[in-house]
Amino acid sequence: MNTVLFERIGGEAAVDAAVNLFYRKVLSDDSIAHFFSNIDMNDQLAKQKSFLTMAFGGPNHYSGRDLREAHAPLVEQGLNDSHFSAVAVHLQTTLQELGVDEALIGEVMAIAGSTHDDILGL
Amino acid sequence: MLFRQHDICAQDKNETVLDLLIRYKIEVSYSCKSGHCQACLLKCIEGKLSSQAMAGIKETLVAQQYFLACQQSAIDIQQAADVDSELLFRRAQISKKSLLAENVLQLVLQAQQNFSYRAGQFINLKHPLGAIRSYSLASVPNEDGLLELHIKRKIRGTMTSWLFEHARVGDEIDIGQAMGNCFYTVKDLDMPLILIGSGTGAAPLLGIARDAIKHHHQGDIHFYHGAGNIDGLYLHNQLVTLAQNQKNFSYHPCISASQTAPGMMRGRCNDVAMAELNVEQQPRLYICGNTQMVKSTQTSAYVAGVPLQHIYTDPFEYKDLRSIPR
Ligand SMILES: Cc1cc2nc3c(=O)[nH]c(=O)nc-3n(C[C@H](O)[C@H](O)[C@H](O)COP(=O)(O)OP(=O)(O)OC[C@H]3O[C@@H](n4cnc5c(N)ncnc54)[C@H](O)[C@@H]3O)c2cc1C
Ligand code: HEM
Ligand code: FES
Repeated sequence: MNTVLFERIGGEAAVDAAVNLFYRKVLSDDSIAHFFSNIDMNDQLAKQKSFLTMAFGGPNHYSGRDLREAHAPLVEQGLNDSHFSAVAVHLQTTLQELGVDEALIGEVMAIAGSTHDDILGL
Repeated sequence: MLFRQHDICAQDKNETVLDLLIRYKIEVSYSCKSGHCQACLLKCIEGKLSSQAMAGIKETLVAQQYFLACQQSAIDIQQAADVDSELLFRRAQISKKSLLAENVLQLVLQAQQNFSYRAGQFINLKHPLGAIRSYSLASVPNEDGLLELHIKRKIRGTMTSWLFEHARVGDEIDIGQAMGNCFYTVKDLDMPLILIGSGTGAAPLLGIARDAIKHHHQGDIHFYHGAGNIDGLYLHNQLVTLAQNQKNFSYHPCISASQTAPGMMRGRCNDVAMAELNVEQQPRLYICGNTQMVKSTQTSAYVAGVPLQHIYTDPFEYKDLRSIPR
């Protein structure tokens, strides 16, 4: 856990500001939207918050194995590198639109990148 | 898992209690299989319940270890039992039965005086042989205790066939407590209400519209009702009249079939409503009826900028119960 990054980026308030912006981008992207179509939207919004909290280096209870398990059904549906990149780009543009410092964005992207193999079940 | 006199075992960690019981052909009631209707309630005697299996259940029932069989993995439950039906259901009487359209039945039930609900919520009805199905309330809470339901006929449907063909005025029927969070709340009186319903999805919307008007809602109320053809717009005359008498209420009939009629919009009600949506006015949306329609409209409204907490939904979820689905 990297609480320093989480606090520098704005903590929970930053997550709240980012979550709707981010999730709208994801749902508007036809290349990945179908992964989210069968899930209750309110539950999903809570999970998106978990995702962002984690990427922002905030307190979370996910291990690599949890991420693997959560995404395993998606891998079965064909989740691959291109989907991972698409999500990463949405994360990056969300942060840019919110005016987050480029150096901090770099740190966030590094955390997201480190989950690559677990997310894709590699 | 022990249940009644059976000792049965889950296939894997994904098998739900309901699926396990169905696999062993043990008769239990269920309908939506998606955590919505509470038809599959059971009582946990020994085991560890997940939060999902308790979501939406009344606190007093949670305290007694009641849970949704369709949302609980069987592997974590050592023993379960049937629920106490007296606790969940009370008697009501059919006081009126009439056709609103060829395939839509208006059923009015006389409930006990203290039956409480919010306009737009739904209740469960219990078939004499035990099947449980959910229907939304088109009435507004009133001292007379009359509950209005709109029921669409389904081909060889268990409950709908009985209601259409056998149930008679004067018959008694078991009804559950009102549930669901798609209802009108008396706040934000100046905001527009956008009501979108396909088929009998119009039932809860009629309740919500009536309730909003009763509470002097100031914002515009737009009622989009969609059907395949004119006959499916079974509230047409009633809503036309309402629009004439109520300044801030407007009715938008939508027909998806190719032929249309004067004054009707061409297209699906959700598409028509989304095309006319003005997010700047901070509308509150109520979307009811066909599950696919409800979910996709919820998504597009959210993507268009409506906050999720301003979108209320009532998907009429049910499983095709034939062994080989369509
Ligand atoms: C929260 C909620 C609210 C609801 N509100 C309403 C409402 O206000 N009004 C309304 O009309 N409905 C509503 N529903 C749907 C309703 O609960 C029932 O699911 C629906 O009426 C069908 O019940 P049934 O017992 O008649 O059909 P079931 O017996 O459950 O059959 C389900 C489906 O399978 C098909 N089927 C089953 N057997 C056969 C067969 N042998 N051949 C061909 N087809 C078959 C039926 O046609 C039907 O489409 C709501 C559902 C939910 C979850
Ligand atoms: C970039 C790295 C990613 C991280 C760190 C991440 C993180 C998470 C987390 C923490 C959850 C919540 C798990 C739970 O509480 O159940 C989750 C769920 C989910 N993620 Fe990801 N995710 C990533 C990439 C992706 C991608 C690329 C997709 C698909 C395009 C995706 C789709 C989903 C879906 C659909 C869920 C919900 C699963 C469910 O509810 O069953 N994720 N993710
Ligand atoms: S809630 Fe379990 S079947 Fe509807």
